[in-house]
Amino acid sequence: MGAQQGDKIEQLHERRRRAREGGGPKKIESQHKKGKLTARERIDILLDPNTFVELDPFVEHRCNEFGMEKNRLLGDGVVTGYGEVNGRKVAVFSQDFTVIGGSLGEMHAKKICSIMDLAAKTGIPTIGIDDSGGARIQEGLDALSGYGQIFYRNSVYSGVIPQISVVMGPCAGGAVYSPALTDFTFMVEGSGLMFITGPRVIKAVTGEEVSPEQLGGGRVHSQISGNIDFLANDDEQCLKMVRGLLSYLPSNNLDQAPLIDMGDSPDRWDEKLSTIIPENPRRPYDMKDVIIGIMDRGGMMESKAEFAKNIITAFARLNGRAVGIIANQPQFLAGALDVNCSDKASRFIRFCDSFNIPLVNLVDVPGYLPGVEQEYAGIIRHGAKMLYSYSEATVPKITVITRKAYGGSYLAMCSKDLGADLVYAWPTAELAVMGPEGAVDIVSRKELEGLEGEEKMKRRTELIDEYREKFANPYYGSSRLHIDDVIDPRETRIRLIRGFDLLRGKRVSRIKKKHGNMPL
Amino acid sequence: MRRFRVEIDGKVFEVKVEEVGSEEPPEVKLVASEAPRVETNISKQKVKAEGNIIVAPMMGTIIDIFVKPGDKVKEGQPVAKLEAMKLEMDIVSDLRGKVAEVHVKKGASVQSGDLIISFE
Repeated sequence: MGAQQGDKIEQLHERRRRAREGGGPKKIESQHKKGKLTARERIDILLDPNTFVELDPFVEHRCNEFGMEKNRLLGDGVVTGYGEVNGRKVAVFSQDFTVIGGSLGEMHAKKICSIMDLAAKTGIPTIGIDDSGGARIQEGLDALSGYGQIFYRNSVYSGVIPQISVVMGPCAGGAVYSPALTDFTFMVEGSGLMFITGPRVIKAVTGEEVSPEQLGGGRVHSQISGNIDFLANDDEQCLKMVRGLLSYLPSNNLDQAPLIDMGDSPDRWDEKLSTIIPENPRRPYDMKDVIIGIMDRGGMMESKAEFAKNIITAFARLNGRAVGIIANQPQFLAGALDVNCSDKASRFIRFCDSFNIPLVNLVDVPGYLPGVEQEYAGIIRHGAKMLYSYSEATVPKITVITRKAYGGSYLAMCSKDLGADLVYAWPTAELAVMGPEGAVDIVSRKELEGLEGEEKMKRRTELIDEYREKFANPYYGSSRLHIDDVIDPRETRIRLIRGFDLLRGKRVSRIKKKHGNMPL
Repeated sequence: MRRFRVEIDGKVFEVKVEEVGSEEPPEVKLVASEAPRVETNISKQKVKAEGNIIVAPMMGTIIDIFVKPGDKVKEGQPVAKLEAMKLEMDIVSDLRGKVAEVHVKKGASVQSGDLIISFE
């Protein structure tokens, strides 16, 4: 190596060292004081050791206004590249709050777009870690355009590669739309913040006083708005959860999720499943106990666990293969379908369908949640999303009815009519066009109108019992092929595993179209 | 339909290949020890827009009340029983505190959002 060349190589390493410094030790210290890790520390936790390959580290912004020419740092506030999670490739960008507040300018956005393009071309998931003051105002329209380019890619790559957002700092104004467009959003409580208009603007316009955390903190979005899917206590836990989620996902739409043997026998007969449904039909139970009994031991990841709890959406495995679970939760709102749970379920169904993850539908649904509030909130168009998503989904779909399956809500939970490949019912199942009480009041109205007082009540009870005996059981539905078999709850796991085994070769041909028009 | 020319042991064959469907993608196999076990014991404390109160989660009938003014209540403790849609569900406190007032009587019909209990 000549002296000159040695110098040049030395210069390269010097530049790299500078790029890795980000905003310098003081800014890094301040980041740590806030309980946050730096952009690079986060990448180190997210990826397998020594797998990160950085790209575009020498990018600088091109702004010469407002003194920005004196504030140029290598990398321009975002670290991008690729690496591995459990040996599988992923692309990552991590905003660096220590460099100009992680603000997004033209070149910063170009770096993000560049890694997204590479991820889409190579079919690997993208993980974006957001920690940014927002648009770099000094760069004006160029910064704004940067957001536009990111949103465009989030949208056109949707359904091609899984896209995950991790909000570990401020993410305000237009910036929030990137997480909103991606498949799953994680947030760290106490540091992650998301809102369109911040507390100061709200105060100025409406006079309302609200703290940033109250307005757009992690708990708000995990419980009230439903904007995020997973909430973590700190950066490290959050990134480990991202790794966990990736273990259920394929790398792209042509791939299958990894097969992970959890050591649970596919022939396990689960005794506990026969005791979950209470003797008293008026008692609720925890549908999660059913999920735990059926799925492979040791792994389940619930999305939007604290939002619209009347429906459960979760990933788990059956004989090592990832499945998506959509289950009514009788413990909350009687498991009735409402606006929020329809949105939650539909989005989950469409994600699973995009990425070849089979669907398990566990049904105990009394109907749609009645009330003026729900009607005014548009339960008609929101509820329609579930019908649409289930019908649209071509992945293997198996439905298990544990107890109630009434009316339109039974259809919305993926009945045979919406394309369920197999429908099983437990002996406790009640399938009917509506609940026995309501049905009797309609079909026997004339008879009941002719009676009065106690006699009327007695006859009504009799008719309800007759109706229940005749229709509210799984056998009437089985005689009409709405149910493929009535099964012992204890054999549910075995039936599902064998069912999905059969359905692995499922082929569906649909009429070619540009895309449908999903109700929104 | 695509045509290929294949040579085997000096003999030339012309073959037509028709793609009848996309191939099953290869499966990635990981072993169980690599499956990350995820800790998700995250904070479940409720965000309260309304203050220190418990409201009816949906419309229905209050069929039982388990607390009275002055009682200390923990998070996760059932405070009343609501019958709705033919199910008897516990209304569970998402707060810890001392009950100031119970705003409903047994047998009362409530709408979603109606005040059930306020804390001191």
